[in-house]
Amino acid sequence: MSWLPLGRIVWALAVVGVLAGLVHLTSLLAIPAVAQHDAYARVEAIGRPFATVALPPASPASRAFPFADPAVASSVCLYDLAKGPVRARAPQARAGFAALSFHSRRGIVYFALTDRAANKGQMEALIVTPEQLRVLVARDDEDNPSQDLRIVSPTPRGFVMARVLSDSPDLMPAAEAQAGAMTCESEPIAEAEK
Amino acid sequence: MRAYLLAAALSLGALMLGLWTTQAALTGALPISVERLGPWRAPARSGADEADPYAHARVERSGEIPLGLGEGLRLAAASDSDGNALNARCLYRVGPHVPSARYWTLEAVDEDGFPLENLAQRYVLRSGEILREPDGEFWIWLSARARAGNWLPLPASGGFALTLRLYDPALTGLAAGADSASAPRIERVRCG
Repeated sequence: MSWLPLGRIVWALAVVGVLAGLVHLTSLLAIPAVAQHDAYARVEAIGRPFATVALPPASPASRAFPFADPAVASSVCLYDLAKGPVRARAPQARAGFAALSFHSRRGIVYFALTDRAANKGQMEALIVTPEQLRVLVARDDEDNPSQDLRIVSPTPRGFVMARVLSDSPDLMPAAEAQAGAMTCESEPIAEAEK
Repeated sequence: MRAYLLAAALSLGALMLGLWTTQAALTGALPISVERLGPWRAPARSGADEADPYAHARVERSGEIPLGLGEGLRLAAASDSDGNALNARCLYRVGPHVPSARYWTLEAVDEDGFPLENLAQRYVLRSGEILREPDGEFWIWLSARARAGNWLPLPASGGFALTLRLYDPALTGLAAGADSASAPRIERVRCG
């Protein structure tokens, strides 16, 4: 090993370490961009915009959505903010846990609310782009403030998910009905103009 | 000539090392960006807006629709409290309490996160179904054979993992001061 003194070995290991680090970071950051079967793609495969679709209950036979809870009934609604804000609504659970979560095109949950945040028996939120939020805020009446819960979607497209936990196996059909009652509708700003 | 060969070998080694660390970090072999609670692991702030690149890449790669931060928390365990890999040949008991949450469910899953086939065709236990001692503590029995009391069926054989979902939990991130004493223990009772 006289042709490879200790100093050169250390130098070579350092180069390998730095290169490996670069490869590691590049591949890690590339995964969200190249992932073909991310949650949004899986939802897009079974749904269409502004339609509520029930997800198949988790079982060994249906392998569409990993880590889904077999005790939870869920439905999804794809949205597109191109034509205006989108209102998502779901009835409150009579008993048990229900939640609405808001997912961006990039697989991130950017907001979630549970039945504890329900108002008048509804869980409700208005999904907006940053521009739409500016327009809405500019039109707000200070004496009569909007009751809307406005949440800004990081991407113009995404989906809303309703989850309803069944407290016992025989309550699963009721949970499915409740999850299926979620709606998401485009609500163009021009309509709100007076 | 030897220098070029050496450089090529080093580059190849670096490429493989880099890809391996990515793979290992995402599959959980390397404990990067994972929070621990006894035998349970939670991907750090998975799915959250501020999710770090590891949590984000993990979620994107698996296709999971993650729980939101205010919604719930999914904990996973692939080994018992003594560190042995979970195996369906064995009898386990899980308890005596879970971290404080409004509701929770316990499920046995395969490595891809899907429920496991079992004779009873029951895949999950809900907090509302649990029989408790007068002091509120409980034990859940995990076995392929039917058992009295709180029983979560396992497949006839093979490895498995446990998924504990806390809905509306008191702790939204594990960093929020949860101690491992609040996590349920997974005790292997016997094997064979």
